[in-house]
Amino acid sequence: MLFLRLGLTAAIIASGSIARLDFAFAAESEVVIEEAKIAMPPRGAPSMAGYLVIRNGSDEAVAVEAVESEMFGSISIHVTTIENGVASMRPAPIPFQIPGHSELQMKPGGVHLMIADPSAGLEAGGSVGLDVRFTDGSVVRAEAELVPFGGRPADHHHGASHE
Amino acid sequence: MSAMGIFRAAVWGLIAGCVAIIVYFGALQPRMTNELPPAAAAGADSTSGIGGPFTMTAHTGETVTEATYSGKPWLMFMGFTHCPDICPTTLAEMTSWFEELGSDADLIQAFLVTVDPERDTVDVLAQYMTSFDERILALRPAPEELERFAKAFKIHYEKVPFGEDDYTMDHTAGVLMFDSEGEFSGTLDLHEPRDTTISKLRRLIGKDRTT
Repeated sequence: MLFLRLGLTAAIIASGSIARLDFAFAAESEVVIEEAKIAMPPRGAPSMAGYLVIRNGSDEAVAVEAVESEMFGSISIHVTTIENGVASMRPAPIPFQIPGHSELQMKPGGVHLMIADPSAGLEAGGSVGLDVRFTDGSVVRAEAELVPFGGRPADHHHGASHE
Repeated sequence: MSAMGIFRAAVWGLIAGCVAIIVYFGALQPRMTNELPPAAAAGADSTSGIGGPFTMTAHTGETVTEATYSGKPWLMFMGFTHCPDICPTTLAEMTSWFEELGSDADLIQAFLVTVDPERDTVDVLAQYMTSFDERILALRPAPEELERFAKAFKIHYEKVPFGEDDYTMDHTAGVLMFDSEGEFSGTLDLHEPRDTTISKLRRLIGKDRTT
């Protein structure tokens, strides 16, 4: 189990999902969530994907315990990995660690939210509140934009790993 | 060594560790072997050895075999409707490639082959496919047919328990391309630049404007 966890963590880091912050955000000292998006599901699909960028500007690591919303019956953090040409989806290691001065960039084919059981009809163009709960008890709320299915977040270009 | 230097070294170390893990598991994992190569199949005498006869039901209800669309280049993607992340993303991308190619895309036949026939009935697929370009056909193999098809087309799929009473499917990623002779001619990767994908598709249909 530990080995599996280490393998997944290594895969998360290798996929570029965790990136070191560059100088533009050096002055920030807190946790910020931006570019929150939920992709509308194709018709009849039971679940949909959500993507967040969680930026940890503090010196200390933070760990995500859960993502919650009154709009959805379930939200879990998953990781898609592609190894030897085979795509696999697995639950992400929880609590999900984000080192100090780093950010978690969720994206298709990487770390993402799997979201199911909406309590009401969803429409592209609307938005839904998501609460990201950390192990220290803090909660950061993000307003996630509902984008057309398959809508991928724009490439995110301020992490040092993009050099 | 600067802090950035140390960080880079650490990341490369982790990447090396990750590669070692992949190689370790890759070597130990049982891979599907091609025990029964189909005779007289489309592509069976090809150099790649990828291909073979199949019979599946399309989301439109029609029966589709390897002969139904022979003579056209194919795109083939393995997926399933309970896949929230890369399957809809890939199909939405495919839809946008077809928009860009316009009527040239009529020269290609694109397939989504479900690796989850247990949950993906023809009715489920019919509803799902209304979200994507109508030229993409979803195909449902019967479970035994999926096994034979996967061997002949060298496709990996595996049912993996997920949560308490759920499961997910591991599956070959990327979009497989077959030329108009039925010969496997490479894959389209979701992470490659869009221009690369479009020029590969133009080459596949023989309308490459640059050569």
